[in-house]
Amino acid sequence: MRVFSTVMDLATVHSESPIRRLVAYYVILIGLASVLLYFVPVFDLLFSGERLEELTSTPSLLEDGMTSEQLVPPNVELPDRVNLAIITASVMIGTVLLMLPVTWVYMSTRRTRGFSQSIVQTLLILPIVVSGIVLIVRNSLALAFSLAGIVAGVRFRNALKDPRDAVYIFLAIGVGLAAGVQALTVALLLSLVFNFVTLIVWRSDFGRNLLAPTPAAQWSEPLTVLADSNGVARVPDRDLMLALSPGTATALADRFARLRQLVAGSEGGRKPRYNGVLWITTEQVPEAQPRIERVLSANTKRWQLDELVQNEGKPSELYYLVRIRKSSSTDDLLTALRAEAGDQVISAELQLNEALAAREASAT
Amino acid sequence: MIGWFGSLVVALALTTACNPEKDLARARAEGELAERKSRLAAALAAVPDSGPPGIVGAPIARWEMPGDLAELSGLALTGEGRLFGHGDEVGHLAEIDYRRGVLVKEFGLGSQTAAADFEGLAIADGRFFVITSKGKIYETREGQARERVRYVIHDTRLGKECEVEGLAYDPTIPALLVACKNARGKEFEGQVVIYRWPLPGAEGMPSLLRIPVDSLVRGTEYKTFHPSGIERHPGTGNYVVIAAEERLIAELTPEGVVRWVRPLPKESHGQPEGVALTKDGILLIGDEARQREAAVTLYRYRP
Repeated sequence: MRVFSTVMDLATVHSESPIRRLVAYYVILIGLASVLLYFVPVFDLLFSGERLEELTSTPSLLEDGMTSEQLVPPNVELPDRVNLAIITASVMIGTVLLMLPVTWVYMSTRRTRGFSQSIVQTLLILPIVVSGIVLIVRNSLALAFSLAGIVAGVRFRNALKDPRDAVYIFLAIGVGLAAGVQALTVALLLSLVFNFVTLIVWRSDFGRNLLAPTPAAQWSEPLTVLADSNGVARVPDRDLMLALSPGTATALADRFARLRQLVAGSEGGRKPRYNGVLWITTEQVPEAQPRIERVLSANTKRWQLDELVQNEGKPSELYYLVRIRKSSSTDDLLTALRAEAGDQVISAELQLNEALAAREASAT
Repeated sequence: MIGWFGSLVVALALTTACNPEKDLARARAEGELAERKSRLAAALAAVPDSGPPGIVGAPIARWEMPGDLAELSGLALTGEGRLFGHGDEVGHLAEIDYRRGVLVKEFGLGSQTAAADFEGLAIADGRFFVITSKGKIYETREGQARERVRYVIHDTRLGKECEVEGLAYDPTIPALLVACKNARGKEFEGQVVIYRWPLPGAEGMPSLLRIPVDSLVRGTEYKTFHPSGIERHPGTGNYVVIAAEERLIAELTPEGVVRWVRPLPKESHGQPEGVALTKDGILLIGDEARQREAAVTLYRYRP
C-alpha cells in the first residue's frame, strides 16, 4: 500500500484532491493495460468481448490425418486449459482493480453518514464471484436463469440504510457480468463513469429540493445557541452541519443541552459537580480510554464518563464530565492528554461552563 | 520503485518476444509445408489419363480441422482455386490451403456471429453465398482474418418443400444449385430434387432438376439417396453429389443423367457434408466430426 500511495503521490504531485487521485488511478490502470495488450495480444480478447475459443488463431497448420507423425504448428499456442486459466485470472484481477476505486468513492461519500464495512467488502468480492459464475455458465441458456439467481442471491441480513447502497451493489454485479463475458472495456467504462458521476452528484448536492429549507436553516440555530458569546464552545463546521440529518442534529442539541445543565448548574445557584465537558474522538477506544482516564485522574478534581458513542467506519466519541482544579487550566489538561495518549486520540475538545471560561479569559 | 517496475516490463517484453521454441517450430513447419506440396503434386502426376471416371485410389491427404470447425459443412472454390469452408451451426467461414494443409484465415458472419443451420456454400464472382436448411441464402463477401463481415439474407422460401443440404454455382446458366436432402411433397416421391436458383439480383426463373432415386442407388446396397453436398466440375460441367447418410458419391450431367455412383470409404468419412472439385483433378470432401475429427480429404479425380 505504501508503494501504491507513493505512486499516487507522484502521479498527482502530492495532491489530496479525491478527483485528481481518482483520475490518476484510472490513467495508471489504462496505461498498464495498454502495455499488457501490446506485449501479450491474447489479452485483447478480454476487452473485445470476443470469446477465446470462437475463432482459431490463423494461419495455423492443419494436422495430416494420413501420417502418424504429429507436427508442431508454427504459431505455438498454449493449451486450452492454460489459456482458460490466464483468461479467468485476468478477468478476476480486472474486476478487483476496477472495483477498488468504487469502494474508495463509496467510503468517501459515506464518511459522515456512516457505512457498513461489510458493504465495502462485498463491493470488492461480489464481482469476482459474479465473473466466475458467468465464465462458467456462458454459452448456455442457463445464463438467463443464473442472472436471476445472482440478483436474488444478493440479500442482506441487515436492511440497506440507503437505497443508494443498492446501486453500488448492482454496479458490482454489472462489473462482474461484463468482466465475465470478457468485455473488460465495458466494465472499465462502467466503473469510471459511475465513480465520476457519483462524485459530482455528491459534491454538488444534486437533487436537493430547492423549495425545501436548507440544512443550514433547519438546525444551525439550535447549534449556534450552544455557542458561548466568546466562542469557547465551538460550533461544528459548516460541512458537518450540512451533513447532519435533522434528527441527528436534534439529538446532538439535546445532548449539549443536558450536558450544559450539568456543568452550568441549576438556577438555584447550587455549585455544579462538573464545570466542563471533555469531548474526545478516537479510533482505538480500548487502548485510548485507560490512558485518557489516567490523565483525568491526575489532572482533574473529579471526572465521569458520560457517554461512549462507538461508531463503525468512523471514529468513536467519548464524553467526559470533568471538574477542573482551580490550580489547573484547560491547556494543562489538553497538554497532558496529548502527551499521554496523543498517538491514539484524533481530537480532544474541552468545553467549559461560563464561570470557568470567564476566569480563564481574564487570566490570559 | 521505478527501477523495479521498469525491470518487470523489460522482462515481460523479452519473454514474449524471444521464443526459441517458436522459431524452431516455424522452421520445421516450413520444411513440412514444402514436402506436403511436392507430395501432392507427385500424387496428381501419377494419375493416368485413361481409366474409369471418379475417385482414383486412396486419399492423398486428410487435413483435420480445429475445434471451432468441428461441424465443417459446405466447401467451395473461388475462381482462382482457393478453398473455403463453413461451419454448420455458426457463421464461420474459413479459407483452407488444401495443397499444404494450412488454415489460412477465418472470418465471421455479422458483428454478432450469425447462428443458423448452415448447409451449403457457393462462390460466384467474388460473392459468397451460404444457405441454411430452410432455404435462406446469406450473401456476403470475403473477409480478412477474424473480420466480422456484413451479410444480406435472401429467402428462397424453399424451406417448406425442401430441406436444403447443398449449394453450388453453375456459371453456364447462371444459377445456384440447391440440393434437397429431403424433398417434401408427394410429387417428389422417389426423386432427388435440385433447384436451379437464379443469383440474387439476376433475372430468370427458378427451375427444377429431378433425378430418380433408383438411378442414384443402382448397384449399391441402398434404396435411398439423401444429398448432403453438391458441386459442379469446372471442366466437364457435370454435377458431383454426395450423400452423407448412405456414404455415396455420384456424378450426373446437368440434365440429370447419372453417370456413375460409388460408395465412399466409411472409415474415412463419418459425415461427408461438403464437396469441391479443382481444375487439376483433385476432389475434396469435407466431413463433420463424427467419431473422427472434422477433416477435408483429398482424392485424385478422373472426370
